Amino acid sequence: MEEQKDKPQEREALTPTVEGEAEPAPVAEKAAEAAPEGPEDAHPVKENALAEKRGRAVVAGAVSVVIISVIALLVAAIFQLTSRWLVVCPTDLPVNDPAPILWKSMVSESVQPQPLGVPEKLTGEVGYKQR
Amino acid sequence: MLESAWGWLIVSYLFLAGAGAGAFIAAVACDLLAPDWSKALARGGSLVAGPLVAVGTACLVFDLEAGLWQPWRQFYLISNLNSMITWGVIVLSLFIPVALLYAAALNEITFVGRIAKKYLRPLEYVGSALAIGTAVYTGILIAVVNGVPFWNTPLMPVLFLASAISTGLAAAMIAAAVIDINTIRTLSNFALGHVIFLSVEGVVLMLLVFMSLTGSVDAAESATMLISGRLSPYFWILVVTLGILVPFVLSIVEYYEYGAMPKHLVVGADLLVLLGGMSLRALIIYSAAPPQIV
Repeated sequence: MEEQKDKPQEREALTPTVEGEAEPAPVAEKAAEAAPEGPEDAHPVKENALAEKRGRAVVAGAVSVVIISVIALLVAAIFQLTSRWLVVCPTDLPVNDPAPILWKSMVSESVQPQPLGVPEKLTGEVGYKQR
Repeated sequence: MLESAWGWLIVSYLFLAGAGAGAFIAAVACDLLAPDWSKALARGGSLVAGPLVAVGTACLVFDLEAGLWQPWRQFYLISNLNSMITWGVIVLSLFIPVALLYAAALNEITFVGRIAKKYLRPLEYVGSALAIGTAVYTGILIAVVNGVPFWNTPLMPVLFLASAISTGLAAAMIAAAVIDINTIRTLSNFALGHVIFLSVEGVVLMLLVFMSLTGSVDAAESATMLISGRLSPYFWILVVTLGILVPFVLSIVEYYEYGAMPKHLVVGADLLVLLGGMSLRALIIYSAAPPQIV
């Protein structure tokens, strides 16, 4: 219970400060030390630092978009390359096809007594396939 | 080989537009609900949302070859208000500038951003509605195709919305990590979002597959192709295992470990969510079986 109670506080404590809000930028600090005459001189340095940060954020956004687009390309490449290796299980093997045997018996000159059901040879072949 | 009437450009559009819309929703949620400690994620999400949807829409336009070579004909896309596609075009056309404006406002980029910052809340509300519309439209675009029974279900927009929020959150987290890798510890707060939306995505995907298996012959054929047919290796490895289960487990660990998880695992979980999101869309497009003519 104690641990659970402490968790939100711990989370807040662990949460790092957001850029440019609580901690002043080191560049701005140095500039403030170097030019103590007035806020007018420190102002442009701070502006530059902020602009640099914004520029960095925009570049980071662009890099992220490129990363995500590369993931899309990567998945397409995986599908395209590996789909060649996919083997479709054949469903029209000759062993399943009774047509040649039936046709042979139909066109045969000699009438042979036909047993009811599936011919013995075909049964054997199917049985072999199932094994 | 993979065969479908719709190719990789459409798959890319579905993925990028969904991720962009989701990133916008994630950014707005962070800015509204936790503005103190989630600023990096809000900034990251806002910066990637507009460009991602723009790139996705470009893929859609490239796929429409007549529209590519004779762009003036695209005006006719908004001429029939009874068509879902017309509404999709309107939503996309409005969302992209709103998302770019929001990114400028939140990050105070140029004078446009400084002016737009005064209207941050209205931009968030309007943009969120358009983002939901964009994410849902990616699902509606294929759900309205009557010729493919597997797609023609109301579950499709729900699945695409859940996946869009999940991939959008991942995109925003990656952008936040690129902006400042030290914010990765705060990202553990958002692992719970991944847990919730990956669960919803998994449940809706399962429902879609089971409803298709018990539905029409053609829908069942598509679902069978996914779970035990020639596309099953992709479905089970890329979507279910790498895209949903592994990030789900990593997100639970990340949430409870809070900040103690290695950075590469946190970013890796987000990359896997994106990989799974793209694979899911590809599989849905390539498993389409047309109705059999008797």
